[in-house]
Amino acid sequence: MKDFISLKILDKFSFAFEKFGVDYKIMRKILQIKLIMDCRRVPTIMTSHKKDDEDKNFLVSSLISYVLVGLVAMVIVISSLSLFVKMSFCLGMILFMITTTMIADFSSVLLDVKDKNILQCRPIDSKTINTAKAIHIFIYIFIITMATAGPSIIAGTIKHGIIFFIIFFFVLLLSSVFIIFVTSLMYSLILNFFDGEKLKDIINYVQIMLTIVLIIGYQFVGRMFNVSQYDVVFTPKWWIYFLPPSWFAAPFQLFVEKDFGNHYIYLSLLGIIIPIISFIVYTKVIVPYFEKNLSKLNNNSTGKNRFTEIRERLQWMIGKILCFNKMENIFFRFTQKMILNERKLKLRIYPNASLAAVMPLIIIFRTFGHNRTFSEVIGEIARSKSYFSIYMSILLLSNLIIMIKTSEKYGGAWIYRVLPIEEPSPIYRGAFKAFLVQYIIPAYLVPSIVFLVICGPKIFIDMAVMLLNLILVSSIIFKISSRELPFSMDFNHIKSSNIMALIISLVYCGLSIALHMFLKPVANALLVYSGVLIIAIILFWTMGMKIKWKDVI
Amino acid sequence: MNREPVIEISDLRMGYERDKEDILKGIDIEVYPGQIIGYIGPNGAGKSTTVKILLGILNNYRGEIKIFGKDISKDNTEYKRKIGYVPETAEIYDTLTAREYLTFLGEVYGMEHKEVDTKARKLMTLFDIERNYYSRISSYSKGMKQKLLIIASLIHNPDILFLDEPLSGLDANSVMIFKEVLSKLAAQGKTIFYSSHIMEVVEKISHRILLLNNGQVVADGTFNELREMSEEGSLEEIFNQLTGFNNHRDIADEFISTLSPDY
Repeated sequence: MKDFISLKILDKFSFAFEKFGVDYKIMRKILQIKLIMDCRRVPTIMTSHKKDDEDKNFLVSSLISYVLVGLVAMVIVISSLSLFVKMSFCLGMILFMITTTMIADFSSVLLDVKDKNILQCRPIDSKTINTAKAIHIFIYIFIITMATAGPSIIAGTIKHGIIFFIIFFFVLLLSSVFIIFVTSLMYSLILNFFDGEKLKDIINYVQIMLTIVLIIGYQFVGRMFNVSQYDVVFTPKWWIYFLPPSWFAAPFQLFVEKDFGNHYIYLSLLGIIIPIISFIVYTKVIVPYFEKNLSKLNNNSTGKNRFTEIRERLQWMIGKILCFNKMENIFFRFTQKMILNERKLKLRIYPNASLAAVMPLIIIFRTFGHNRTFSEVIGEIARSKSYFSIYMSILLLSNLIIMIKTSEKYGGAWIYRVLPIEEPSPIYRGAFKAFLVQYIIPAYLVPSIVFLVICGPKIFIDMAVMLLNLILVSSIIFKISSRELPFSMDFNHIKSSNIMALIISLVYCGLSIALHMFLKPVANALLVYSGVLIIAIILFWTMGMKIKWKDVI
Repeated sequence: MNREPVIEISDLRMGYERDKEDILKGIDIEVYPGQIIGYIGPNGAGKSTTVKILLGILNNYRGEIKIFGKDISKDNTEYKRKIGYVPETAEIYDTLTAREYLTFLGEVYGMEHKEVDTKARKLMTLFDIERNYYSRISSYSKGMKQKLLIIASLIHNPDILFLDEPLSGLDANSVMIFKEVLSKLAAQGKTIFYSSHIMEVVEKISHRILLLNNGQVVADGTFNELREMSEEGSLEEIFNQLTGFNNHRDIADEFISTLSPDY
């Protein structure tokens, strides 16, 4: 069996465990098995690029993302900002990364109920099991912390001396305790008020948020270097006491800068006292409570929910408007429910849809944003043709449509064969429309409304042309990838068709931009153009989407 | 029998790969309305393959299959309106709630949303799982999921039912309900294709037993006919004899001696 460096290091401390009455040999075996299982688990950050057949630790490969965040933190540390401000920023980033990762990826470790069935019926005492669990979490927090904080530690120690290193070390220790407390407190509260399904939903949202922040955050990495050149004058205000990063940044001001201002003393005290209190509360209150409530995880609230009722009525209405065929209508609603319910699918769709929504805005503000006031920038954007950057969204969104083929539970697709459905076309039409309504059009509306507000109603026709282009190119890509039925493929199958789709949308968007630019100065040409696009879409959907059962896998 | 057969299978053959041996080697079956057919055989005999072909999940077979008198390779949609299926592995879009899943299926079968909704809820109540009507199927226990699959297969009141280990995970009370439901359905003239490895159940509920071995039907008749044919007492023993398996004692002995070598 595979051995791990972390375990070998742990071996050096085996005597300490034995002393506390832990069966070290068994604990090591449990940890080894868990680490092997973790190698085969795909973490949230890596979902977009992964190899599933390799037996290597995904955490190690996803560490690159953490190191990148760590490098950004490092840039802040070596910047010329005042020490307290930059340490607050840096620690804020590190804390954010670790907390969200804890929630997103280690929820499975924290909330493992399978553990109980497998381990507790064996002759292992609970002390050993609990220690194994704690060490397991600790190993990961340690690795992630090192990856994110490592660059800052090195750079900061070079710049500020060994005292920086010592303080950083203690601060990290205290903040890790604080994070574990916060995460488990959050879980306990959710479990107290809601049920397991709600908790899974919330974990899902945190996962989505983490991915979005990372993807969009990378777009701003370049900007960080500019911002760090400015000097922010900082005067502590009362609300600073509510920001955990400032508690942990204050000791640096205290000991490195030798600035013994009252604020910094109080903040540092908070940074020490709160983690200690939270550690006591954690071991005395939360852990026992948690163990008791963990079984609730598989519970489920029952009864109708008002919100779902309203949502359902809304889906009915939209379905009635958009789908004339009865079967199509049924599959429209089916698809909507599927894409709204399936957490793993959402985890793949939301980050990409949000990136597509904000991408044009990122591009614009990156090119216009240098040393100008906000109103200057707005004025300049309004005069330029920068709204053409929405084609970037079209490119990204049209590729998203392939996701509709996939599902975590793709095995359920046997129902398509068993049900009396004459032609698969209504399935595809309903699914496409649902996906368009649910994700693609909302994501498109974000940048186009921003540009409409900035540039005024004169670009309305351009927005219409772009929307029609988006629908047409999505339809083409959807048609090309329509050999598989909706929700009938594993997530891993998507890669090969992805490149094809990307090429098609690249070519399409390139040609559309050229045509759009060319027709723009000609009077009424865009009106005619959108008319042609509408006809093309209708023709495509009436003639082009005739799919027979034998064409479907 | 003067009634028309509902299912006619003649010379059904099927192989998954071209150069490999066929899984089904010429099966001929006629099934009449009102029959409960116990469809048994060892693992890999071709039971699930036959059922999947009849359901239209697999379609690269050779031979002829008529359901309700029509060739299913020609008219492959209409007959499905009157067929229900409980698959063995409960693969299901379980991110949906029971209500969402059942109303979806019902509507595809041409029922009105309200009608399916009431019917599905009533059936859930009868199986004592109505509390979970609005919760995700992924949160169900094994037995609850099985009950849901059974409801899903019956919601459109089909004429032919294909059941693959339908009792797995059900508690004793639900088993009793379901067996009673099956015999009532058969009395109404519905046909039930019951595939299982639990011989005691098959022996009790089936009007006719089909034993499949190595891609061929090796026995076909009522339980009594089978018993006369093989001169064995229980269906389990008949099964062992007809599939040529008689060394279970030796294997068990070896099993035990592996567990405790000095025994």
